[in-house]
Amino acid sequence: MKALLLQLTGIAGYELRLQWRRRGLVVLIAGLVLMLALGTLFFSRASQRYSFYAEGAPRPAMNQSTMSGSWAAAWLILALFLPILAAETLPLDRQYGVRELFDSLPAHPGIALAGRVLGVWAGVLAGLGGVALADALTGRLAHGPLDLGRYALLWAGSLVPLALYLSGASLLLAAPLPGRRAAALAGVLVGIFSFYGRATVLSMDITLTPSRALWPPIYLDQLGRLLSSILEADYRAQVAALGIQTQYFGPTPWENLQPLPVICALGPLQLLVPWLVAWLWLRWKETR
Amino acid sequence: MDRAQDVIEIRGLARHFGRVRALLDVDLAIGPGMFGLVGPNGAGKTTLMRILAGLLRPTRGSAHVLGHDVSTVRGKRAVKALLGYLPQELGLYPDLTAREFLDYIAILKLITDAPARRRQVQVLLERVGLAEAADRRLKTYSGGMKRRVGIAQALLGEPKLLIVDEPTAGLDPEERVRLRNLLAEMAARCTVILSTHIIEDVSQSCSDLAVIQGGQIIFRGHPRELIARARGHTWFLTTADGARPAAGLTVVSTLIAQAGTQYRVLGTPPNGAPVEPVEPSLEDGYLWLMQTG
Repeated sequence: MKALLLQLTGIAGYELRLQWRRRGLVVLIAGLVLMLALGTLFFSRASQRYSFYAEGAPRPAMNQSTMSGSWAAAWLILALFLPILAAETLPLDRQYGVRELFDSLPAHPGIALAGRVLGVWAGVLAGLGGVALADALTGRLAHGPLDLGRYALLWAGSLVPLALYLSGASLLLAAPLPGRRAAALAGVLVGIFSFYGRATVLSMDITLTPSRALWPPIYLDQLGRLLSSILEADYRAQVAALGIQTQYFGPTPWENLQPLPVICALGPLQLLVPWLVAWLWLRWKETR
Repeated sequence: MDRAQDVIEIRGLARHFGRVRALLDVDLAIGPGMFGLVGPNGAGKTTLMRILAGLLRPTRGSAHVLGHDVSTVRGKRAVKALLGYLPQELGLYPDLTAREFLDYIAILKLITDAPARRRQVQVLLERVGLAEAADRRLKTYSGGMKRRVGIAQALLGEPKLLIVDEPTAGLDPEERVRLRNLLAEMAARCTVILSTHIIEDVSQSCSDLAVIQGGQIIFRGHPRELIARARGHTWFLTTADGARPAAGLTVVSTLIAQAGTQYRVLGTPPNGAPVEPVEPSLEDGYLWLMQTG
Protein backbone atom coordinates (compact mmCIF):
# COMPACT_ATOMS: atom_id res chain seq x y z
CA MET A 1 0.00 0.00 0.00
CA LYS A 2 2.82 2.34 0.94
CA ALA A 3 4.61 1.47 -2.28
CA LEU A 4 1.51 2.29 -4.32
CA LEU A 5 1.13 5.60 -2.51
CA LEU A 6 4.76 6.43 -3.22
CA GLN A 7 4.23 5.49 -6.84
CA LEU A 8 1.13 7.68 -7.03
CA THR A 9 2.90 10.71 -5.59
CA GLY A 10 5.93 10.07 -7.80
CA ILE A 11 3.78 10.03 -10.96
CA ALA A 12 1.93 13.14 -9.79
CA GLY A 13 5.24 14.90 -9.12
CA TYR A 14 6.52 14.26 -12.64
CA GLU A 15 3.21 15.23 -14.21
CA LEU A 16 3.35 18.50 -12.29
CA ARG A 17 6.87 19.10 -13.61
CA LEU A 18 5.82 18.30 -17.17
CA GLN A 19 2.81 20.58 -17.03
CA TRP A 20 4.94 23.53 -15.96
CA ARG A 21 7.66 22.89 -18.50
CA ARG A 22 5.24 22.72 -21.40
CA ARG A 23 4.52 26.43 -20.96
CA GLY A 24 0.78 26.17 -21.69
CA LEU A 25 -0.12 26.38 -18.02
CA VAL A 26 2.38 29.19 -17.47
CA VAL A 27 0.82 31.24 -20.27
CA LEU A 28 -2.67 30.57 -18.88
CA ILE A 29 -1.63 31.60 -15.37
CA ALA A 30 0.07 34.76 -16.69
CA GLY A 31 -3.14 35.60 -18.58
CA LEU A 32 -5.17 35.15 -15.41
CA VAL A 33 -2.84 37.37 -13.41
CA LEU A 34 -3.13 40.09 -16.03
CA MET A 35 -6.89 39.75 -16.33
CA LEU A 36 -7.44 39.90 -12.59
CA ALA A 37 -5.06 42.83 -12.17
CA LEU A 38 -6.87 44.82 -14.84
CA GLY A 39 -10.24 43.85 -13.38
CA THR A 40 -9.24 44.85 -9.88
CA LEU A 41 -7.89 48.19 -11.07
CA PHE A 42 -11.00 48.81 -13.14
CA PHE A 43 -13.29 48.03 -10.22
CA SER A 44 -11.18 50.24 -8.04
CA ARG A 45 -11.91 53.24 -10.25
CA ALA A 46 -15.54 52.27 -10.76
CA SER A 47 -16.03 51.88 -7.05
CA GLN A 48 -14.74 55.39 -6.41
CA ARG A 49 -17.44 56.77 -8.68
CA TYR A 50 -20.49 54.63 -8.07
CA SER A 51 -20.36 52.26 -5.19
CA PHE A 52 -21.07 52.44 -1.54
CA TYR A 53 -17.43 51.78 -0.76
CA ALA A 54 -16.92 55.46 -0.35
CA GLU A 55 -19.64 55.53 2.29
CA GLY A 56 -17.31 54.04 4.82
CA ALA A 57 -17.59 50.26 4.53
CA PRO A 58 -14.62 48.66 6.26
CA ARG A 59 -11.89 47.55 3.86
CA PRO A 60 -11.85 43.88 4.87
CA ALA A 61 -15.53 43.60 3.97
CA MET A 62 -14.86 44.63 0.40
CA ASN A 63 -13.23 41.38 -0.65
CA GLN A 64 -16.04 39.69 -2.39
CA SER A 65 -17.62 42.68 -4.08
CA THR A 66 -14.27 43.96 -5.20
CA MET A 67 -13.01 40.70 -6.56
CA SER A 68 -16.01 38.88 -7.89
CA GLY A 69 -16.58 41.19 -10.84
CA SER A 70 -13.21 40.47 -12.41
CA TRP A 71 -13.49 36.83 -11.43
CA ALA A 72 -16.21 36.31 -13.99
CA ALA A 73 -13.62 37.14 -16.64
CA ALA A 74 -11.05 34.90 -14.93
CA TRP A 75 -13.55 32.10 -14.91
CA LEU A 76 -14.15 32.62 -18.62
CA ILE A 77 -10.42 32.27 -19.35
CA LEU A 78 -10.23 29.15 -17.22
CA ALA A 79 -13.28 27.59 -18.85
CA LEU A 80 -12.00 28.29 -22.35
CA PHE A 81 -8.37 27.24 -22.05
CA LEU A 82 -7.78 25.02 -19.01
CA PRO A 83 -9.89 22.06 -20.24
CA ILE A 84 -8.04 22.08 -23.56
CA LEU A 85 -4.66 22.12 -21.82
CA ALA A 86 -5.60 19.31 -19.45
CA ALA A 87 -7.32 17.23 -22.13
CA GLU A 88 -4.05 17.05 -24.09
CA THR A 89 -2.18 15.33 -21.27
CA LEU A 90 -2.60 11.70 -22.35
CA PRO A 91 -2.89 12.22 -26.13
CA LEU A 92 0.44 14.06 -25.93
CA ASP A 93 2.00 10.79 -24.74
CA ARG A 94 1.04 9.28 -28.06
CA GLN A 95 2.46 12.23 -29.96
CA TYR A 96 5.76 11.97 -28.08
CA GLY A 97 5.82 8.20 -28.66
CA VAL A 98 5.96 7.18 -24.99
CA ARG A 99 2.52 5.56 -24.87
CA GLU A 100 3.69 2.10 -25.91
CA LEU A 101 6.53 2.17 -23.43
CA PHE A 102 4.19 3.19 -20.62
CA ASP A 103 1.77 0.42 -21.55
CA SER A 104 4.60 -2.10 -21.19
CA LEU A 105 5.35 -1.03 -17.61
CA PRO A 106 3.96 -2.81 -14.56
CA ALA A 107 2.29 0.27 -13.05
CA HIS A 108 -1.42 -0.38 -12.49
CA PRO A 109 -3.24 1.66 -15.15
CA GLY A 110 -5.66 3.06 -12.58
CA ILE A 111 -2.83 4.25 -10.34
CA ALA A 112 -0.99 5.76 -13.30
CA LEU A 113 -4.10 7.63 -14.44
CA ALA A 114 -4.90 8.87 -10.95
CA GLY A 115 -1.30 10.07 -10.63
CA ARG A 116 -1.62 12.02 -13.85
CA VAL A 117 -4.85 13.66 -12.66
CA LEU A 118 -3.28 14.54 -9.30
CA GLY A 119 -0.25 15.97 -11.07
CA VAL A 120 -2.39 18.19 -13.26
CA TRP A 121 -4.37 19.27 -10.22
CA ALA A 122 -1.18 20.06 -8.35
CA GLY A 123 -0.01 22.17 -11.30
CA VAL A 124 -3.31 24.00 -11.48
CA LEU A 125 -3.35 24.58 -7.72
CA ALA A 126 0.20 25.88 -7.73
CA GLY A 127 -0.67 28.19 -10.61
CA LEU A 128 -3.84 29.45 -9.01
CA GLY A 129 -1.92 29.96 -5.77
CA GLY A 130 0.38 32.28 -7.69
CA VAL A 131 -2.58 34.05 -9.26
CA ALA A 132 -4.22 34.47 -5.84
CA LEU A 133 -1.04 35.94 -4.44
CA ALA A 134 -0.64 38.37 -7.34
CA ASP A 135 -4.31 39.29 -7.15
CA ALA A 136 -4.08 39.90 -3.41
CA LEU A 137 -1.13 42.22 -3.95
CA THR A 138 -3.01 44.12 -6.66
CA GLY A 139 -6.08 44.31 -4.44
CA ARG A 140 -3.96 45.54 -1.54
CA LEU A 141 -2.49 48.31 -3.69
CA ALA A 142 -5.85 49.28 -5.20
CA HIS A 143 -8.15 48.97 -2.20
CA GLY A 144 -6.12 48.73 0.95
CA PRO A 145 -5.87 45.86 3.45
CA LEU A 146 -7.70 42.63 2.69
CA ASP A 147 -9.28 40.12 5.01
CA LEU A 148 -6.96 37.31 3.99
CA GLY A 149 -8.95 34.54 5.64
CA ARG A 150 -12.08 35.45 3.74
CA TYR A 151 -10.07 36.04 0.61
CA ALA A 152 -8.60 32.52 0.79
CA LEU A 153 -12.05 31.09 1.46
CA LEU A 154 -13.37 32.88 -1.59
CA TRP A 155 -10.69 31.25 -3.73
CA ALA A 156 -11.16 27.86 -2.15
CA GLY A 157 -14.86 28.01 -2.86
CA SER A 158 -15.04 29.33 -6.37
CA LEU A 159 -12.18 29.38 -8.92
CA VAL A 160 -10.22 26.54 -7.33
CA PRO A 161 -12.95 23.85 -7.38
CA LEU A 162 -14.05 25.01 -10.79
CA ALA A 163 -10.48 24.69 -12.10
CA LEU A 164 -10.10 21.25 -10.53
CA TYR A 165 -13.32 20.09 -12.13
CA LEU A 166 -12.47 21.53 -15.54
CA SER A 167 -8.99 20.01 -15.62
CA GLY A 168 -9.88 16.64 -14.06
CA ALA A 169 -12.99 16.03 -16.13
CA SER A 170 -11.39 17.01 -19.42
CA LEU A 171 -8.26 14.91 -18.80
CA LEU A 172 -10.34 11.83 -17.96
CA LEU A 173 -12.83 12.26 -20.77
CA ALA A 174 -10.05 12.80 -23.29
CA ALA A 175 -7.98 9.83 -22.04
CA PRO A 176 -9.39 7.33 -24.56
CA LEU A 177 -9.19 9.71 -27.50
CA PRO A 178 -6.63 9.01 -30.21
CA GLY A 179 -5.20 12.46 -30.88
CA ARG A 180 -4.73 15.98 -29.62
CA ARG A 181 -7.39 17.44 -31.89
CA ALA A 182 -10.11 15.15 -30.55
CA ALA A 183 -8.87 15.79 -27.03
CA ALA A 184 -9.03 19.54 -27.54
CA LEU A 185 -12.61 19.15 -28.74
CA ALA A 186 -13.47 17.21 -25.58
CA GLY A 187 -11.88 20.02 -23.57
CA VAL A 188 -13.97 22.61 -25.39
CA LEU A 189 -17.12 20.62 -24.61
CA VAL A 190 -16.23 20.45 -20.92
CA GLY A 191 -15.65 24.21 -20.98
CA ILE A 192 -18.99 24.86 -22.67
CA PHE A 193 -20.69 22.57 -20.16
CA SER A 194 -19.37 24.60 -17.25
CA PHE A 195 -20.00 27.88 -19.07
CA TYR A 196 -23.64 26.95 -19.46
CA GLY A 197 -23.83 26.34 -15.74
CA ARG A 198 -22.34 29.69 -14.88
CA ALA A 199 -24.52 31.53 -17.41
CA THR A 200 -27.56 30.06 -15.71
CA VAL A 201 -26.33 31.34 -12.36
CA LEU A 202 -25.54 34.82 -13.63
CA SER A 203 -29.01 35.23 -15.07
CA MET A 204 -30.42 34.11 -11.70
CA ASP A 205 -32.46 31.52 -13.51
CA ILE A 206 -32.39 29.07 -10.67
CA THR A 207 -35.06 26.44 -10.70
CA LEU A 208 -34.75 23.94 -7.94
CA THR A 209 -35.74 20.66 -9.50
CA PRO A 210 -33.92 17.34 -9.30
CA SER A 211 -33.54 17.22 -13.08
CA ARG A 212 -31.63 20.51 -13.02
CA ALA A 213 -29.18 18.98 -10.59
CA LEU A 214 -28.07 16.62 -13.35
CA TRP A 215 -27.12 19.60 -15.45
CA PRO A 216 -24.61 22.22 -14.73
CA PRO A 217 -24.15 23.98 -12.35
CA ILE A 218 -21.86 21.22 -11.34
CA TYR A 219 -21.22 19.78 -7.95
CA LEU A 220 -18.06 21.75 -7.32
CA ASP A 221 -19.74 24.89 -8.51
CA GLN A 222 -22.38 24.28 -5.88
CA LEU A 223 -19.62 24.17 -3.31
CA GLY A 224 -18.35 27.47 -4.63
CA ARG A 225 -21.74 29.03 -4.31
CA LEU A 226 -22.11 27.64 -0.81
CA LEU A 227 -18.87 29.31 0.24
CA SER A 228 -19.77 32.48 -1.61
CA SER A 229 -23.03 32.55 0.30
CA ILE A 230 -21.13 32.31 3.56
CA LEU A 231 -19.00 35.26 2.49
CA GLU A 232 -22.02 37.21 1.32
CA ALA A 233 -23.82 36.65 4.60
CA ASP A 234 -20.71 37.74 6.43
CA TYR A 235 -20.47 40.85 4.32
CA ARG A 236 -24.11 41.76 4.86
CA ALA A 237 -23.69 41.35 8.57
CA GLN A 238 -20.74 43.71 8.59
CA VAL A 239 -22.49 46.31 6.48
CA ALA A 240 -25.63 46.04 8.60
CA ALA A 241 -23.57 46.48 11.74
CA LEU A 242 -22.27 49.75 10.37
CA GLY A 243 -25.82 50.89 9.64
CA ILE A 244 -25.06 51.51 5.99
CA GLN A 245 -28.05 51.61 3.69
CA THR A 246 -27.41 50.14 0.26
CA GLN A 247 -29.55 49.18 -2.67
CA TYR A 248 -27.05 46.74 -4.12
CA PHE A 249 -28.12 43.60 -2.31
CA GLY A 250 -30.06 41.16 -4.40
CA PRO A 251 -32.02 38.10 -3.29
CA THR A 252 -30.68 36.05 -0.41
CA PRO A 253 -27.71 34.10 -1.81
CA TRP A 254 -28.81 30.92 -0.08
CA GLU A 255 -31.62 30.80 -2.58
CA ASN A 256 -29.05 30.17 -5.30
CA LEU A 257 -28.24 26.79 -3.83
CA GLN A 258 -30.02 23.66 -4.79
CA PRO A 259 -31.40 21.56 -1.94
CA LEU A 260 -28.51 19.92 -0.13
CA PRO A 261 -29.83 16.34 -0.43
CA VAL A 262 -30.13 16.79 -4.17
CA ILE A 263 -26.57 18.07 -4.35
CA CYS A 264 -25.30 15.22 -2.19
CA ALA A 265 -27.15 12.57 -4.14
CA LEU A 266 -26.78 13.71 -7.71
CA GLY A 267 -23.84 16.11 -7.68
CA PRO A 268 -21.09 13.50 -7.29
CA LEU A 269 -22.51 11.60 -10.24
CA GLN A 270 -21.33 14.42 -12.46
CA LEU A 271 -17.78 13.80 -11.28
CA LEU A 272 -18.10 10.04 -11.46
CA VAL A 273 -19.02 10.03 -15.14
CA PRO A 274 -15.55 11.05 -16.40
CA TRP A 275 -13.93 8.55 -14.01
CA LEU A 276 -16.23 5.85 -15.31
CA VAL A 277 -15.38 6.68 -18.93
CA ALA A 278 -11.66 6.51 -18.19
CA TRP A 279 -11.97 3.33 -16.13
CA LEU A 280 -13.91 1.52 -18.84
CA TRP A 281 -11.30 2.57 -21.37
CA LEU A 282 -8.49 1.20 -19.19
CA ARG A 283 -10.32 -2.09 -18.76
CA TRP A 284 -10.89 -2.37 -22.49
CA LYS A 285 -7.27 -1.55 -23.25
CA GLU A 286 -5.98 -4.26 -20.94
CA THR A 287 -8.10 -6.97 -22.50
CA ARG A 288 -7.72 -6.12 -26.16
CA MET B 1 19.03 -26.83 -26.17
CA ASP B 2 17.26 -27.95 -23.02
CA ARG B 3 13.60 -27.04 -23.65
CA ALA B 4 12.81 -27.32 -19.93
CA GLN B 5 14.67 -24.04 -19.51
CA ASP B 6 12.63 -22.22 -22.12
CA VAL B 7 11.89 -18.65 -21.17
CA ILE B 8 9.31 -18.26 -23.90
CA GLU B 9 7.05 -20.89 -25.36
CA ILE B 10 4.81 -20.02 -28.30
CA ARG B 11 2.32 -22.44 -29.82
CA GLY B 12 0.10 -21.88 -32.85
CA LEU B 13 0.22 -18.14 -32.35
CA ALA B 14 -1.73 -16.01 -34.81
CA ARG B 15 -2.64 -12.35 -34.89
CA HIS B 16 -4.94 -10.77 -37.44
CA PHE B 17 -5.64 -7.08 -37.95
CA GLY B 18 -8.88 -7.20 -39.88
CA ARG B 19 -7.99 -8.92 -43.14
CA VAL B 20 -4.27 -8.54 -42.58
CA ARG B 21 -2.69 -11.65 -41.12
CA ALA B 22 0.36 -10.43 -39.29
CA LEU B 23 1.24 -13.77 -37.67
CA LEU B 24 0.31 -17.25 -38.88
CA ASP B 25 0.56 -20.23 -36.54
CA VAL B 26 3.93 -19.41 -35.07
CA ASP B 27 5.59 -22.10 -32.93
CA LEU B 28 8.73 -21.05 -31.15
CA ALA B 29 10.63 -21.86 -27.97
CA ILE B 30 13.29 -19.50 -26.74
CA GLY B 31 15.80 -20.31 -24.02
CA PRO B 32 18.20 -18.17 -21.98
CA GLY B 33 20.83 -16.00 -23.68
CA MET B 34 20.51 -13.72 -26.67
CA PHE B 35 17.99 -14.60 -29.32
CA GLY B 36 17.76 -12.86 -32.67
CA LEU B 37 14.52 -12.45 -34.58
CA VAL B 38 15.27 -11.41 -38.12
CA GLY B 39 13.03 -10.59 -41.03
CA PRO B 40 12.18 -7.95 -43.60
CA ASN B 41 9.99 -4.97 -42.80
CA GLY B 42 6.37 -6.03 -42.35
CA ALA B 43 7.29 -9.65 -41.62
CA GLY B 44 5.51 -9.67 -38.24
CA LYS B 45 8.48 -9.09 -35.91
CA THR B 46 6.99 -6.15 -34.07
CA THR B 47 3.61 -7.85 -33.73
CA LEU B 48 5.32 -10.85 -32.14
CA MET B 49 7.37 -8.60 -29.83
CA ARG B 50 4.25 -6.70 -28.78
CA ILE B 51 2.40 -9.90 -27.95
CA LEU B 52 5.33 -11.13 -25.87
CA ALA B 53 5.46 -7.78 -24.05
CA GLY B 54 1.78 -8.07 -23.14
CA LEU B 55 0.75 -5.16 -25.34
CA LEU B 56 -1.30 -7.13 -27.82
CA ARG B 57 -3.59 -10.09 -27.46
CA PRO B 58 -3.13 -12.99 -29.88
CA THR B 59 -6.04 -13.83 -32.13
CA ARG B 60 -5.29 -17.52 -31.71
CA GLY B 61 -2.76 -19.75 -30.01
CA SER B 62 -0.80 -19.24 -26.83
CA ALA B 63 2.37 -17.55 -25.67
CA HIS B 64 3.89 -18.20 -22.27
CA VAL B 65 6.58 -15.83 -21.10
CA LEU B 66 8.50 -16.85 -17.99
CA GLY B 67 5.62 -19.19 -17.26
CA HIS B 68 2.87 -16.58 -17.63
CA ASP B 69 0.16 -16.69 -20.28
CA VAL B 70 0.21 -13.30 -21.99
CA SER B 71 -3.30 -13.70 -23.36
CA THR B 72 -4.77 -13.12 -19.87
CA VAL B 73 -4.83 -9.82 -17.97
CA ARG B 74 -3.18 -11.43 -14.95
CA GLY B 75 -0.48 -12.99 -17.13
CA LYS B 76 0.21 -9.70 -18.88
CA ARG B 77 0.65 -7.91 -15.58
CA ALA B 78 2.98 -10.63 -14.29
CA VAL B 79 5.10 -10.46 -17.43
CA LYS B 80 5.32 -6.68 -17.35
CA ALA B 81 6.78 -6.89 -13.84
CA LEU B 82 9.66 -9.03 -15.16
CA LEU B 83 10.19 -7.31 -18.47
CA GLY B 84 12.42 -4.65 -19.94
CA TYR B 85 11.05 -3.40 -23.25
CA LEU B 86 12.46 -1.09 -25.87
CA PRO B 87 9.79 -0.42 -28.49
CA GLN B 88 10.65 0.13 -32.12
CA GLU B 89 9.50 3.74 -32.07
CA LEU B 90 10.47 5.04 -28.69
CA GLY B 91 9.71 8.64 -27.89
CA LEU B 92 10.82 10.51 -24.82
CA TYR B 93 9.46 13.53 -23.01
CA PRO B 94 11.53 16.33 -24.53
CA ASP B 95 11.13 18.55 -21.48
CA LEU B 96 12.62 16.07 -19.01
CA THR B 97 16.30 15.34 -18.54
CA ALA B 98 17.60 11.79 -19.01
CA ARG B 99 17.98 11.42 -15.25
CA GLU B 100 14.42 12.59 -14.64
CA PHE B 101 13.00 10.37 -17.38
CA LEU B 102 14.73 7.28 -16.01
CA ASP B 103 13.63 8.17 -12.51
CA TYR B 104 10.05 8.50 -13.74
CA ILE B 105 10.18 5.10 -15.46
CA ALA B 106 11.71 3.59 -12.32
CA ILE B 107 8.74 4.89 -10.33
CA LEU B 108 6.38 3.31 -12.84
CA LYS B 109 8.34 0.07 -12.41
CA LEU B 110 7.51 0.27 -8.70
CA ILE B 111 11.05 1.06 -7.57
CA THR B 112 9.74 3.32 -4.85
CA ASP B 113 12.77 3.49 -2.55
CA ALA B 114 14.15 6.87 -3.62
CA PRO B 115 17.86 6.44 -2.71
CA ALA B 116 17.98 2.98 -4.32
CA ARG B 117 16.25 4.36 -7.38
CA ARG B 118 18.68 7.22 -7.74
CA ARG B 119 21.63 4.85 -7.40
CA GLN B 120 20.25 2.51 -10.03
CA VAL B 121 19.57 5.38 -12.42
CA GLN B 122 23.13 6.68 -11.95
CA VAL B 123 24.63 3.22 -12.56
CA LEU B 124 22.63 2.80 -15.77
CA LEU B 125 23.47 6.29 -17.00
CA GLU B 126 27.13 5.41 -16.58
CA ARG B 127 26.68 2.04 -18.26
CA VAL B 128 25.13 3.58 -21.37
CA GLY B 129 27.67 6.41 -21.38
CA LEU B 130 25.27 9.25 -20.61
CA ALA B 131 26.41 10.23 -17.12
CA GLU B 132 27.84 13.54 -18.29
CA ALA B 133 24.75 14.50 -20.29
CA ALA B 134 22.30 13.16 -17.70
CA ASP B 135 21.02 16.55 -16.64
CA ARG B 136 20.42 17.88 -20.14
CA ARG B 137 16.88 18.01 -21.48
CA LEU B 138 16.12 15.12 -23.82
CA LYS B 139 15.18 17.46 -26.65
CA THR B 140 18.89 18.26 -26.98
CA TYR B 141 19.87 14.58 -27.44
CA SER B 142 20.91 12.95 -30.71
CA GLY B 143 19.11 9.86 -32.05
CA GLY B 144 21.82 7.58 -30.69
CA MET B 145 21.72 9.14 -27.24
CA LYS B 146 17.94 8.75 -27.13
CA ARG B 147 18.32 5.09 -28.06
CA ARG B 148 20.75 4.69 -25.18
CA VAL B 149 18.22 6.26 -22.82
CA GLY B 150 15.75 3.72 -24.21
CA ILE B 151 18.12 0.86 -23.39
CA ALA B 152 18.75 2.27 -19.92
CA GLN B 153 15.05 2.45 -19.13
CA ALA B 154 14.61 -1.14 -20.31
CA LEU B 155 17.34 -2.26 -17.90
CA LEU B 156 15.76 -0.55 -14.89
CA GLY B 157 14.59 -2.98 -12.24
CA GLU B 158 16.94 -5.73 -13.44
CA PRO B 159 14.47 -7.46 -15.78
CA LYS B 160 14.53 -11.21 -16.35
CA LEU B 161 13.60 -10.70 -20.00
CA LEU B 162 14.70 -7.91 -22.28
CA ILE B 163 12.82 -7.32 -25.54
CA VAL B 164 14.42 -4.85 -27.91
CA ASP B 165 12.74 -4.05 -31.18
CA GLU B 166 14.99 -2.64 -33.92
CA PRO B 167 17.34 -0.98 -31.44
CA THR B 168 20.00 0.01 -33.97
CA ALA B 169 17.80 1.35 -36.75
CA GLY B 170 19.01 4.74 -37.89
CA LEU B 171 22.14 4.75 -35.74
CA ASP B 172 25.68 5.45 -36.90
CA PRO B 173 28.19 2.55 -36.82
CA GLU B 174 29.81 3.63 -33.58
CA GLU B 175 26.46 3.81 -31.77
CA ARG B 176 25.41 0.46 -33.23
CA VAL B 177 28.55 -1.26 -31.96
CA ARG B 178 28.09 0.33 -28.54
CA LEU B 179 24.47 -0.86 -28.35
CA ARG B 180 25.32 -4.35 -29.54
CA ASN B 181 28.00 -4.69 -26.89
CA LEU B 182 25.63 -3.47 -24.24
CA LEU B 183 23.01 -6.03 -25.22
CA ALA B 184 25.60 -8.79 -25.31
CA GLU B 185 26.63 -7.85 -21.78
CA MET B 186 23.01 -8.01 -20.70
CA ALA B 187 22.54 -11.44 -22.25
CA ALA B 188 24.85 -12.81 -19.56
CA ARG B 189 22.33 -11.72 -16.92
CA CYS B 190 18.96 -12.18 -18.57
CA THR B 191 17.28 -13.40 -21.72
CA VAL B 192 17.50 -10.86 -24.53
CA ILE B 193 15.29 -10.96 -27.60
CA LEU B 194 16.65 -8.79 -30.35
CA SER B 195 14.33 -8.08 -33.22
CA THR B 196 15.97 -6.54 -36.24
CA HIS B 197 16.21 -6.44 -39.98
CA ILE B 198 19.93 -5.62 -39.77
CA ILE B 199 21.70 -8.97 -40.12
CA GLU B 200 25.00 -7.64 -38.84
CA ASP B 201 23.47 -7.01 -35.41
CA VAL B 202 22.52 -10.66 -35.08
CA SER B 203 25.71 -12.07 -36.55
CA GLN B 204 27.80 -10.28 -33.97
CA SER B 205 25.87 -11.22 -30.88
CA CYS B 206 23.32 -14.04 -31.20
CA SER B 207 23.89 -17.77 -30.95
CA ASP B 208 20.28 -18.59 -31.66
CA LEU B 209 18.01 -16.98 -34.20
CA ALA B 210 14.78 -17.26 -36.12
CA VAL B 211 13.88 -15.76 -39.47
CA ILE B 212 10.32 -14.61 -39.95
CA GLN B 213 8.66 -13.80 -43.23
CA GLY B 214 5.02 -13.19 -44.02
CA GLY B 215 4.07 -13.92 -40.43
CA GLN B 216 5.70 -17.36 -40.39
CA ILE B 217 8.97 -18.67 -38.99
CA ILE B 218 10.93 -19.93 -41.97
CA PHE B 219 14.20 -20.72 -40.21
CA ARG B 220 15.21 -21.54 -36.68
CA GLY B 221 18.70 -22.44 -35.57
CA HIS B 222 22.30 -21.34 -35.04
CA PRO B 223 23.68 -18.62 -37.34
CA ARG B 224 26.20 -21.21 -38.60
CA GLU B 225 23.31 -23.26 -39.99
CA LEU B 226 21.96 -20.28 -41.86
CA ILE B 227 25.39 -19.54 -43.26
CA ALA B 228 25.75 -23.17 -44.34
CA ARG B 229 22.63 -22.86 -46.48
CA ALA B 230 24.37 -20.37 -48.76
CA ARG B 231 27.58 -22.40 -49.04
CA GLY B 232 28.15 -23.34 -52.67
CA HIS B 233 25.83 -20.57 -53.81
CA THR B 234 27.96 -17.51 -53.03
CA TRP B 235 30.39 -16.17 -55.60
CA PHE B 236 32.60 -13.33 -56.66
CA LEU B 237 31.86 -12.40 -60.25
CA THR B 238 34.23 -9.96 -61.96
CA THR B 239 33.39 -8.23 -65.22
CA ALA B 240 35.83 -6.01 -67.10
CA ASP B 241 33.28 -4.00 -68.99
CA GLY B 242 30.92 -3.41 -66.09
CA ALA B 243 28.24 -5.69 -67.52
CA ARG B 244 25.56 -6.73 -65.02
CA PRO B 245 25.54 -10.36 -63.81
CA ALA B 246 23.18 -12.75 -65.54
CA ALA B 247 19.52 -12.84 -64.59
CA GLY B 248 18.90 -15.32 -61.79
CA LEU B 249 21.88 -14.17 -59.77
CA THR B 250 21.21 -11.97 -56.77
CA VAL B 251 23.73 -9.20 -56.33
CA VAL B 252 24.71 -8.84 -52.68
CA SER B 253 27.35 -6.17 -53.18
CA THR B 254 29.20 -4.32 -55.94
CA LEU B 255 32.81 -3.16 -55.86
CA ILE B 256 34.14 -1.02 -58.69
CA ALA B 257 37.92 -1.38 -59.06
CA GLN B 258 40.56 -0.64 -61.75
CA ALA B 259 40.55 -4.24 -62.93
CA GLY B 260 36.81 -4.20 -63.41
CA THR B 261 33.63 -4.50 -61.43
CA GLN B 262 33.48 -7.18 -58.79
CA TYR B 263 30.05 -8.47 -57.78
CA ARG B 264 29.24 -10.68 -54.84
CA VAL B 265 26.36 -12.80 -56.05
CA LEU B 266 24.09 -15.57 -54.86
CA GLY B 267 22.77 -18.29 -57.13
CA THR B 268 23.95 -20.65 -59.80
CA PRO B 269 26.14 -18.85 -62.36
CA PRO B 270 26.00 -19.90 -66.01
CA ASN B 271 28.74 -22.18 -67.32
CA GLY B 272 31.96 -20.33 -68.15
CA ALA B 273 31.08 -17.26 -66.10
CA PRO B 274 34.19 -15.67 -64.46
CA VAL B 275 33.27 -16.61 -60.90
CA GLU B 276 35.13 -17.81 -57.86
CA PRO B 277 33.48 -19.37 -54.78
CA VAL B 278 33.37 -17.35 -51.57
CA GLU B 279 32.74 -18.34 -47.96
CA PRO B 280 29.25 -16.96 -47.27
CA SER B 281 28.41 -14.57 -44.49
CA LEU B 282 25.26 -14.57 -42.36
CA GLU B 283 23.85 -11.91 -44.65
CA ASP B 284 24.40 -14.20 -47.63
CA GLY B 285 22.67 -17.03 -45.77
CA TYR B 286 19.74 -14.77 -44.92
CA LEU B 287 19.38 -13.49 -48.47
CA TRP B 288 19.64 -17.02 -49.85
CA LEU B 289 16.90 -18.12 -47.46
CA MET B 290 14.70 -15.21 -48.50
CA GLN B 291 15.25 -16.13 -52.13
CA THR B 292 14.69 -19.84 -51.80
CA GLY B 293 12.19 -19.89 -48.91
